[in-house]
Amino acid sequence: MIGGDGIGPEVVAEALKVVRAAGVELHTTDFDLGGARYLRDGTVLPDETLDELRGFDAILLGAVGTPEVKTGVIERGLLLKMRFALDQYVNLRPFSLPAKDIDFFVVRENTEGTYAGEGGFLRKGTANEIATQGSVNTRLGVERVVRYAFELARSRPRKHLT
Amino acid sequence: MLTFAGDLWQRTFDLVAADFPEVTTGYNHVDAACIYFVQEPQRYDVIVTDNLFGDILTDLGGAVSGGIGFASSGNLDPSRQAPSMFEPVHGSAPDIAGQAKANPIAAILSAAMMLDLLGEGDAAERIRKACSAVSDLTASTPEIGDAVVAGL
Repeated sequence: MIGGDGIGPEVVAEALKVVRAAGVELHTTDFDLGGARYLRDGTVLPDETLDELRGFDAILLGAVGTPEVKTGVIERGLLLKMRFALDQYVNLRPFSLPAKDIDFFVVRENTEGTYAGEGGFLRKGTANEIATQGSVNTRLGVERVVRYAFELARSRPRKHLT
Repeated sequence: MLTFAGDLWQRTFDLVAADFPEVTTGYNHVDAACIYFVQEPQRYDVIVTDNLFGDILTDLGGAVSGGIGFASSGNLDPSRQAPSMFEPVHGSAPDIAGQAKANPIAAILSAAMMLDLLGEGDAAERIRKACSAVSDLTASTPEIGDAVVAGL
């Protein structure tokens, strides 16, 4: 469990309460990570903590970020570092609004494309400045996320993949 | 249109599709998908897309299906070599922290996704049903959690 900052610990507490009430026995370990931890001792996500996280079945995170820490420090140092180190290559987003018959998933590639950070500046700050921004797409990266999406579609009644 | 990247995606998609004959497939340009998301999101079942287009489409998807209070997400390693990470899409909202004003539904739905991965699909489905039955979202954070528990 990474409750994190602000309302993060409050909403994670409710999530755990519901999971346990649903009859699932969960063994949890709390990790103190996020903006508050960073402000206290300058730590975002040490390699030892990352190695420790590898031993768990799943990670539940509330929210991270505090106004006192510059935007990007925690996002890059914690969320993105975890995503790349643990190779979490699928970002799965369910969308459901039964009242309007909306029920679909977006399977978003989570480690490549513009996330790979290809690009840079030439003559930065001058009138002749050039900025390039690449999108890295590998056969392995595309195939594994596409395969996941097909498997998800196959498990659903409509079995349709866009 | 990303000419080269799109070409690699399409060729790879077509190759993988051959392994899933029971799945029907379709293709949208991202600009057309934005229109369909607003006008007729019911047409979609599963969408697969790249990182950048996915960033935009998932924000739009949240906006047309109940808003950020319901938006859950999973960052998955389907190979199960490393743990997957589940989180509500919303931020830490420091302006309302400690006041029990936050809507915990997105976090609860994220935990339900986690249960799917942990092989507890029945519990996950009961939690999702209970979440969609919660009527009073102006209640306090623990009260909304209690309402979900009551609906299990």
